[in-house]
Amino acid sequence: MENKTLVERLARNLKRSKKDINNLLGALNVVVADKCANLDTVAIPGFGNFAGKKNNEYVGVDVETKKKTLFPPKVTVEFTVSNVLKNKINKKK
Amino acid sequence: MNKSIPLIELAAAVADVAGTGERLSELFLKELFATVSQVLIDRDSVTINGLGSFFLQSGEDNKDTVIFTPDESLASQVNTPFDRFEPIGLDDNVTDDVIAALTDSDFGVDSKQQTVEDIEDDAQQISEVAETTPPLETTSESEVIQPSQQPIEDENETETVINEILPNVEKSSEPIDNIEQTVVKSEKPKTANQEKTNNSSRNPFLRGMIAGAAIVAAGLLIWWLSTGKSNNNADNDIAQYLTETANESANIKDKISIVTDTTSTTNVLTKISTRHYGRQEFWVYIYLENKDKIADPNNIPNGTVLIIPPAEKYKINPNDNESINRANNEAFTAYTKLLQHN
Repeated sequence: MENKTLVERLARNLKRSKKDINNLLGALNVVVADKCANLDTVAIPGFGNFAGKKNNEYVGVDVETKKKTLFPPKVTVEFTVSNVLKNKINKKK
Repeated sequence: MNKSIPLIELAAAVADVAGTGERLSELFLKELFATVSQVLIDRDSVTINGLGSFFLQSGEDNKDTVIFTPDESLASQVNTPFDRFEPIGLDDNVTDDVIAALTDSDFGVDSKQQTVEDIEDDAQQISEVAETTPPLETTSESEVIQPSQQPIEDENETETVINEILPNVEKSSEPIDNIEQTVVKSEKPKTANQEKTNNSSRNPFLRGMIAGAAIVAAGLLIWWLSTGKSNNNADNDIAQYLTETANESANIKDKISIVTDTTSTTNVLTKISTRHYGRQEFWVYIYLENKDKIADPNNIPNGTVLIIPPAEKYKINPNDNESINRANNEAFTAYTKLLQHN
């Protein structure tokens, strides 16, 4: 399902305009980014968690050239699916 | 940091950013994730612009699991402090021991002490100023603090004393109020001492000595006034003296402006930096300025009042790439130190 179809379905179900739905989606993106940048976890019951994880800097070595490279730290978003959703998905399988 | 944000808190934050009610925000979130869940159960994938894509993948025990790929904009936003850093190639002679030594010496004690000393000096100055300012009110917007100025002493009393001390001296055509005040402070003790001396001692010789000293002092004063120095030079000398005494005086306080900002769920360091300096990269200078309050720049408690240093202090210029690169290097150094402590 593409974003456009998702927005249309949400607008229909919530009886709001597509503009309102897009505004709320944009706000959700901002908040999730903020929380994950602070290494917090956004918990959606029955769906899953969005967590910010920090990977420390490290020195990588090329196997062939033996050249060393210092990689900077990095913060990423990791998603963990809820067991409830996972069971529902596999139940229907 | 490492906080779990429940749905209610998420809905409140989304409502705050979107400018809608919390009820609508909550309904939206529930409907959104219910719809995405149903699509996944129906074995389809979902793409949400700005957030990412959800799709199924076979996992352990032949069971499907949900894989999430964040959108590029989300990944970049989350990694903002380190987004500009690139991998750095190391020379062949850089061994593991050299790397460990480099970490300890370049990012360890020396630079830390220098940074701490600088911040302690700044903190001491700020605390001295803070003692003279009224308490802050926490808001979500930045504030400029201007301490109140106490009234200056009555001028009539000072003018009378001056006329008694220097009856025959021509006054400046443009007398400055503060000069009279300052003169009073230095002359009043003398006046009291002179009165005591005159009242207690009846020795004519001593009386004559005192009169002679007074005449000499008056003559010096006349000479000083008539040496041809311009009023501007006298003003400059007196202004300089006033500047020095004003700092020590408890009655006259300089106006000092301190800019602050308060953290909240959506008002984090990068946003504060963007608001005050025009770019988020300069968040590290706010962190360094408030290092005594911030244990972890990624997890600052809501409601923390942060002092925003002037841009000149750290040579902050949003239009200068060198300034931006310097900020990024500072951020890298700061995070390296934090990782060492953790």
